[in-house]
Amino acid sequence: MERMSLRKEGKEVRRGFALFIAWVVVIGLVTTAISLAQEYPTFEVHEIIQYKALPQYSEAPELAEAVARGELPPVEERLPKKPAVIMTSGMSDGPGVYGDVWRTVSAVPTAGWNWAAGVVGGWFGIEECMQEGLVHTGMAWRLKTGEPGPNLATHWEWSEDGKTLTMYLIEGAKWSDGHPFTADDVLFTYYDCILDPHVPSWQGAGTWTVGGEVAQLEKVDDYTIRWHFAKPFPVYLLWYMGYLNFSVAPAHVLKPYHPKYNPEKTYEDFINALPPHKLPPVVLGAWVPVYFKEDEALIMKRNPYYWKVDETGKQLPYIGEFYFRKARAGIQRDLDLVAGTCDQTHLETPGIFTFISEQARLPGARFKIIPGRWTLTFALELNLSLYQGVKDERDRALRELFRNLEFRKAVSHAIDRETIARTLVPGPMLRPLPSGFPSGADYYNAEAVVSYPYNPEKARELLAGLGFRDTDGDGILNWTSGPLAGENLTISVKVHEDQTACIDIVEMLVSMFEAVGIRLVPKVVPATVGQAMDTAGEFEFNMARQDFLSAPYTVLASLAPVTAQTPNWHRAGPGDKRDLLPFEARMIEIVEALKYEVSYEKRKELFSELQKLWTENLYTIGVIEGIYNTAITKRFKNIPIGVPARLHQWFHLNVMQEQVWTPKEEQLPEFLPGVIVKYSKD
Amino acid sequence: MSIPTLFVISVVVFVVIQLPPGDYMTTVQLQLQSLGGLTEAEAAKVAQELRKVYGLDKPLYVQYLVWMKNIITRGDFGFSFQYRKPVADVIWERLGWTILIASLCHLISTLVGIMIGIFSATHQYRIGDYVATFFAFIGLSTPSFFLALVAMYILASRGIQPGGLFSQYYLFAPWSWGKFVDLLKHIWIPVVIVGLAGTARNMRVMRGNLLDILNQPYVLTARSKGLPERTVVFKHAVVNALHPIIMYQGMVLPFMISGEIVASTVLNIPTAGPMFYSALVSQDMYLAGSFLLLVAVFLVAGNLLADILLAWIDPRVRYD
Repeated sequence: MERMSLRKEGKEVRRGFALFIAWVVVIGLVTTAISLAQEYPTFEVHEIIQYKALPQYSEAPELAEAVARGELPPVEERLPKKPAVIMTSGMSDGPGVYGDVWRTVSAVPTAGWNWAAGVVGGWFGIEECMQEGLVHTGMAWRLKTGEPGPNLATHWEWSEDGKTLTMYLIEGAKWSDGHPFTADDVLFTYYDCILDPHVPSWQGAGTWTVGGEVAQLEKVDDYTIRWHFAKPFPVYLLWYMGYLNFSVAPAHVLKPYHPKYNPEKTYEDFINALPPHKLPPVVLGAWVPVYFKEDEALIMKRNPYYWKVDETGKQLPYIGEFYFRKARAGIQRDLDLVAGTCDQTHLETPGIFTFISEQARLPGARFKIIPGRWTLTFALELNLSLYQGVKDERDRALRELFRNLEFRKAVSHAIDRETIARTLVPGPMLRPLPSGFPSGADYYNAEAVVSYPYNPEKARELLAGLGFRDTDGDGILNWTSGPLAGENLTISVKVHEDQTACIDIVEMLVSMFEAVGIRLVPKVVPATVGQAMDTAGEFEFNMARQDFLSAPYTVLASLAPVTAQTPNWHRAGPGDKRDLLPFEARMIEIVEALKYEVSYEKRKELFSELQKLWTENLYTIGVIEGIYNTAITKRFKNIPIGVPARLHQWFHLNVMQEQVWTPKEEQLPEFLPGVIVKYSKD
Repeated sequence: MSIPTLFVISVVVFVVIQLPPGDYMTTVQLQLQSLGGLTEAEAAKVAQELRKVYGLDKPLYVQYLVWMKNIITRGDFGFSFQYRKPVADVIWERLGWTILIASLCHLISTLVGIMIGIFSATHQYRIGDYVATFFAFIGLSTPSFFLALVAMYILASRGIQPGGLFSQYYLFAPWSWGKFVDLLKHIWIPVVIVGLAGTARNMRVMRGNLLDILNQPYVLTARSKGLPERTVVFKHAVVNALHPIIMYQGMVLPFMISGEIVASTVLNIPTAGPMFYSALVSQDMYLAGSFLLLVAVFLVAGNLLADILLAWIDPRVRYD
């Protein structure tokens, strides 16, 4: 008997040892993968892109047929005189062949195509397919300079005093309907969409205010624009001139709907001028939506007027079609990838990491995993605004409470981050995030982090110190003073339905908060509704994936209350009313200084101070951070080594989708073969 | 009797969808204020104008009468604010899928449930009965969303697109034999998931009733007459044991529809379920109301059918 139990024990020891070894190997593999991921080649701008005329051009077969039928002008006439040439030196597999379809999933409703008015196309790469900015922020991670690369603006120069910035636009590029792209489109985008306070664009005038004055944009000629600033060298603004924040809008399409040019129209008309079933929209991007059915699918076809080519003169993109399956949960994209019916996903749902890695290791797996960095960030945003979205006494009382650092500390102490990380994924893919930037972010400084780790006892003490008592014995604390006296301490937390991981985390938070006497009520909403709630300031807690913090310099305006709309958790109310918290004044100063700072070292110093203030004061309350991996089909070529799922931009821009291709024998049939982008005459 | 019931239901539905404070225009107004930077007064003015356009400024009973009049005279169910299309355009195809899936679930769960119930009752306390009962309790107690989730993982790892009603490439194909087969390959998943609980329930009810009836004196009489066991069970016992199941038929369709809503939301099937959910979230009231109303119509129709069926099968009901 005794011998048996001894043998059993021995077995268990051996098993434990084997597990330990396996553990060490896994950690070793992951860290090697991470270090490998960070060793990727970087390039000069001209090694990736040049603007020059080539001796000859060619096009995709279906476009050549359309030209032969007389439906399209020849490719030479559709391209600019000096098209953007994606250089072979910047490609990992070289020039490619036409064909194939890129299949993916979008889990956010498509609201329409007027992106200049903040209307959502459905995310998940949809916007990146259609929109183009003046500069290319997705190229920055591969450039030696680490700065945005050229795009619609081919090059730019600062004046000596740093108060003007002249940008030269690509000449002769055309919108997908054949209409020329000029400086007028850029001015319309800036003055009539971004700056117009009635148009809900992604960035308002606040972002563009330099030295107390809104930057002015002058049209020098059709292909030259000049920025005028009140303070020298606002270098941060280059990051706001790329995709999304400065996705150029088609003036010739939108002007007739804008109240400034058509007095019969209202702003409501303008915002909804391009509903999703109005197809195809006019775009500058490589693909154009041609088919849409709610909750089912969105299909895009190559833009016959796309203005980029490869070095052999082939008009891009190589891949002719994009297929977006419409779904409701982001996890659908991961499951479809495993099933082989989707071609790429960012692994942002930790719950499925293990499943995906197992599937990727199976012989015959059709996809591979590209290791990423620690930039996957989950945090709670507590609404600190006293004026935006405050409708009644309850709102006011809650906001006052959230603004109290003691309460934020209690919330932080209530969160068992280790358990959340381990429950979502066993293994080293996730770890606790105290607050603020993820550790893979640019300018991250571990020494500047103050943390308030899991300590429910301490949380209870702090809450008691704030006057909360469980007066009715139901296990939930009650307010003992103020307008809510006697009521339970109940807080709603907004989560977007497409963000599966946020929902999982919130479910765990509910019981952790209950343990310290706070009732947390999850409110799961579609992303489009959630976005409206954000801007209206109508949330209490917000469980967010703060991906934008991975490259803080590119989102300076979102880091402190420097514009009316930022940060999301402390927006200004009507009439720009906002009562700053004591530490926010210094944050504003830091962000202001960063805007004009060119030295990396000085930026790092300033960011460290910002990080200290952020974490010490729990500006947001971190939960966990993770490695942001990408999984992608093995048939795609020209995927740059070490391409991040999220850094300055999303994968779709980081990878430069237009230069991705598939060998002929591996190509899949298109969903809508032979269909080309066509516009009706009226 | 059915018509007045429907009338009452339509009134209740209309009142219920108006219950939450505000309407879709309140949402629009807030968006204009926050996103559009309009002042409260300006945004309220725009919202009021939109209310006039859509008739939302009228008293509740007028809105109801207009809604009803349009449904009855023109089949017009109103306008979906969220989809920016007439409700009828949004709802019919989806509702078709919902009804198809729900009816299939219903049919299969009834047939299979009754069969297993008979088997279980006639093999009481034997191994087959225990196995069937065990699975029935599992089926009753497993939530359909969980089954749907498990199904998604299994399908994905088998290389089958999880969820949806068609494979990718059949989505755009015109109807053909191949497309029909493809549909069958996908539709059984929600049908099994939603139908499981119903099957288990039917099995338990059938088993209980049949056991009761098998102990009745007239069954004893039949047996003592020397009738073969098959005739005793099927001709004399089963027919009488079916009554509670048939009476329940009218109630079961909405139950299947609510199961379908859950399963379709998880399995990402474009039926009316997920649409109804988002209509409720965004206060798209005509869409939500029309869906509720149509479900009510099916409920009433189902009850009517069940009554007729019962009268046909049980002579006593006719003379009541």
